[in-house]
Amino acid sequence: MTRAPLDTQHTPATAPPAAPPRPAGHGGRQASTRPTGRGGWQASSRLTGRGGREASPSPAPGGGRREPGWRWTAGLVVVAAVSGVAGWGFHRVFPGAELLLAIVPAALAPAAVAALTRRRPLWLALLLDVLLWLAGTVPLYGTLSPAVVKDVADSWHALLSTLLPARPDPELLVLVHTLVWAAATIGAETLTRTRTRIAAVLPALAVHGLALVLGVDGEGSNLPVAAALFVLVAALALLRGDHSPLWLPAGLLAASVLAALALVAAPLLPIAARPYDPREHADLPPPARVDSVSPLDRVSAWLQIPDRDLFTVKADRPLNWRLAVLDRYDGVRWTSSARFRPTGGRVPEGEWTGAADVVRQRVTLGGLPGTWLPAAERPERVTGVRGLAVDPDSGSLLAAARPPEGFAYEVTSRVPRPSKEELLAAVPVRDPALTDVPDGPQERLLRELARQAVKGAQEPIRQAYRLQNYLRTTAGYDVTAPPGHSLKGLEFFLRTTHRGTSEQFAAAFALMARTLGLPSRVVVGFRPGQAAGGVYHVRSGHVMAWAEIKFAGLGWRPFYPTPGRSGARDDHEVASSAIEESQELADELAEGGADRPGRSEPRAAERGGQDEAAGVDPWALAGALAAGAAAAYAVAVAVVPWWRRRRRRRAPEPGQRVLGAWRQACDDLGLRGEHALTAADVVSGQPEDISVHLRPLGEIANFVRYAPETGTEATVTEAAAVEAAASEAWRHSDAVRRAARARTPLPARLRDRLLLR
Amino acid sequence: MTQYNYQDQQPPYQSPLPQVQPQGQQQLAGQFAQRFQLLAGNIERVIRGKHEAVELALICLFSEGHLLVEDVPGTGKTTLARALAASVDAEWRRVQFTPDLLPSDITGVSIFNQAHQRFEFHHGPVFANIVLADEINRASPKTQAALLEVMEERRVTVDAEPHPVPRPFLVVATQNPVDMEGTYPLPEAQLDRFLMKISVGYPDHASEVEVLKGMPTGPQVERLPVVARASDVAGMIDFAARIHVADPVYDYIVALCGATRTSPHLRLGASPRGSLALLRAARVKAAAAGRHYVVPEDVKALAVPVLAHRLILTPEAELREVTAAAALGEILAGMPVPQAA
Repeated sequence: MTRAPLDTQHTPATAPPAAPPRPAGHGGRQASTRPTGRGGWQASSRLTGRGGREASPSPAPGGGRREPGWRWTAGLVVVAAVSGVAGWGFHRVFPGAELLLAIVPAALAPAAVAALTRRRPLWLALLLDVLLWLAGTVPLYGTLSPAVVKDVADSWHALLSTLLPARPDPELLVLVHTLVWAAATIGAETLTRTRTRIAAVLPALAVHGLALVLGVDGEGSNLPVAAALFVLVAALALLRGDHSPLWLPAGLLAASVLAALALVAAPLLPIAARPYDPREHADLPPPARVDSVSPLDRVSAWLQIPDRDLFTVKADRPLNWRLAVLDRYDGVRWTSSARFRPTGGRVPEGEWTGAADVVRQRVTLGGLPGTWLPAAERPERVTGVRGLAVDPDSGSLLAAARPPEGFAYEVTSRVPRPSKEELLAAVPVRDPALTDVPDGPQERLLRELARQAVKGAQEPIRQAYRLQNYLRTTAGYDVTAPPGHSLKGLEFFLRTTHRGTSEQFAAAFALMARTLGLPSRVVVGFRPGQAAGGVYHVRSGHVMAWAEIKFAGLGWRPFYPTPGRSGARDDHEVASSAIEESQELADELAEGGADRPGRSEPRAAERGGQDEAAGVDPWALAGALAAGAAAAYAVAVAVVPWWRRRRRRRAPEPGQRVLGAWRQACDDLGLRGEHALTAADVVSGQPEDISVHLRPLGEIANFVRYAPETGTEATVTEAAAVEAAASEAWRHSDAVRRAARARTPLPARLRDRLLLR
Repeated sequence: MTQYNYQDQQPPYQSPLPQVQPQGQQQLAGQFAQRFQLLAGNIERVIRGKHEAVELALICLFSEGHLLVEDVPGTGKTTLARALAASVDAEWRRVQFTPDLLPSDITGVSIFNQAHQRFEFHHGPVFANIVLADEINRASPKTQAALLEVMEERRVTVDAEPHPVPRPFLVVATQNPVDMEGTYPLPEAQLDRFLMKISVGYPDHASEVEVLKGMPTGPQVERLPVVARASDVAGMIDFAARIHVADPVYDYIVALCGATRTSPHLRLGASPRGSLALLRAARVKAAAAGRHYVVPEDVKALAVPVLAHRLILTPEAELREVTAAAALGEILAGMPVPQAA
């Protein structure tokens, strides 16, 4: 091993150390350096400082490092852009262009302030920023609103309790404006007054993180925003670095590659499958009574004045239009536990995610009272309603205020189409609140009736359809029935009147279903109405209530227990296809269910029979058996009646002969086996020529059967009288036989004889 | 009130049966039937076309039971009771039940007699052979209970001293099923005290025309002749109680009442008091038909008026609009008539 080459390059320890090259500024431009008296290095460059003054390593006034003008300016632009892009991350919360109004001023103004006040005290910059923040709210509110601070404070909760997309209201947008402004202010001042490389964008990245969390349930993709942020942050890092300008494109290329890799890898992260949604933990607004009169209470009133125009629906198929969903029952009335949440138009999906039809409707309101908005089945998107609120559980729609007549909106609904197998396998959801029925005698009545109605059906869906059929068949529809759905009223309906409107039918069905453990609720809505040119005119008389039962995976399934009116086609109106489908399912499911033998069983039995008869000609054996049976039957037909009659007539006791005469007469009249008929019953149904003999015969027979016996004291005369009575009885019996034969056609006589009763 | 000699009006009675029974029983049954028909005919002079209701009321009288007549106003409930009372030479009283009627207004009250320095009992209107309790469901339950207690025990006990009511003793109570506001419906336990609950019903066209033609000069309750004395009625009651009942008929009655207790339509069936009532009424009906023995027809014909008001339907039956009479009819239609003993 030789060390010579190394030794030749050794620097003497006494020699002053070579001054390391040190770039001056971010541009990496070489500058002459010299050691400072404090052991540091003082840079001297023509390009640094102002007017050829020496650059100082100490922080410049305001804390910022002296930088080349374009890099600093570019850095400010990047910070403003990062803040703006981070604010655009709220596009899943506010999809409209209104978001730009909140973002652009908030992102640009702090950068401008930072540029103007870089040599001024920080407090002055912050003061200007606050004033500009306030000014930036003017485009949102249209004026300078004194409630802006309060709105910022309240907007958090409002956003968390709002279904996405949220309404672009100033009260909500001001939060984005404030966040972007704060991120831009901190970023711009940090960039201007510190030497940090990318710390200036950290507030903006925090804002983006917040946007990700708040918009997790919204529509759209975060990837473009994330990619843009990635590129901008990388650009800032390069601008703030001390590398050569040649590094810039290389750095951008590397950042792009990293962004692409993140794009591919991000969906693979575990959290991507189920993103964290803070709305699941937010305090929702309490159930609110949204209308002074329950829609269910309006049913009877509407039916009394059936011609009031309520609204029209333009749709490509007739459906029931849902108005309100009521799922709590206190023994007197059905109420809604809905927790309505504001929404910009999107309605959260229901539980059913399988096959479904999409139906678009345009609803034009007429004289519909209240703030409930009708829509078909499960709405998924509503447009044209400002101040719309929706109950995520039921999909019910509610306007902030009563819309004026002529107000129109559009709804897109999903109509689930589960298969029969899915229905049969459906299991009801376990929810005590949805199976609660107030205790009392009425509860026992409902439970007993429900138990009888389902006739032992096991499958929940079959129980429900049998219950539906039970109500449809045991009670009638009557618009004049007394209104109300209290337990007392329903008891009166079920036990006494058996007449009611859909109000009583739906309420009774829901409560009876609850006694079976089926979670249920009542829906108030309307039948499709009268069709005219693709538009359905819905009047007050089309109001209808029905019930729904919740099944796991299926969601809420409708049931229509109201007879006649549910699928009525009277007055040329259109029946809902949903009702028709429901009825078809009911017919198919409700009456089936009994365990029927499979096809293989008879075949197996046939095979067994063939095995047993093996070795003998089966045709010959069957023929012989049939001939023998026929012969025996013919003999029986000929002999048995004769022998029976003879035995009766020749009974040893006169009383037995009397009773024999009566039984013979009953047999001749075809009444054999009618043990519940008294003599008077038998006589009353006969024509005069028969009853004239049958009546005294019956009286004699009754006498023999029920009169007190004379015992041993009967005289010879009395015995003779009884003998005479027996003869008289047979005389009447023979007369009845003749009259009956005369009245009975020969085929009927042969049939009666062959039946050998 | 004129005395009516019923013996002059006896129609010839012919039995289709062999004359093998003791002549006394059979003849007495024939006489019973004659007097029964005489009373019925007399009452039907004012109650036109309601033979069945009149017959049931008389069966009640001779069974020593009490009658509840339920029907809408104007169908002759009160007239039926008054005609029944007028046809029998017996004391009768009418009590119009109102919410403010007190028990003592019916049973009577003890008043201190200063002259004799002791309490004296003043009999109330219930001390009569026939008491017409008009619109009984308008009185308070307390007053109803007082009357129903007398009906059951046939005596009034005041200050530990019993005061028996005369014999025969028949309470004919009426109630209106339509105008139920402000009424106190009789509970099932008290309905059980009534032997029968009947409905007079509207007359048919011809009968109503006859009623119209007869006004105002036609037969009126006040002018009805007396066709039976109270002692005759008591004798007929005693005779009816001795009418023969064969063992199969006992079985039939018990099986019938037992079936009401197991019927799927009925929550509450007939009590043993119902069986006894049905037996008593069947005996009278047999005697009224001139028989000295009961046949299942008698039981079957009286099952509904005697038993129906004692039954309580299940909610399911009510939902299906099944009435107690229909449920009973269903039981009767499936109940085998007893065969020869």
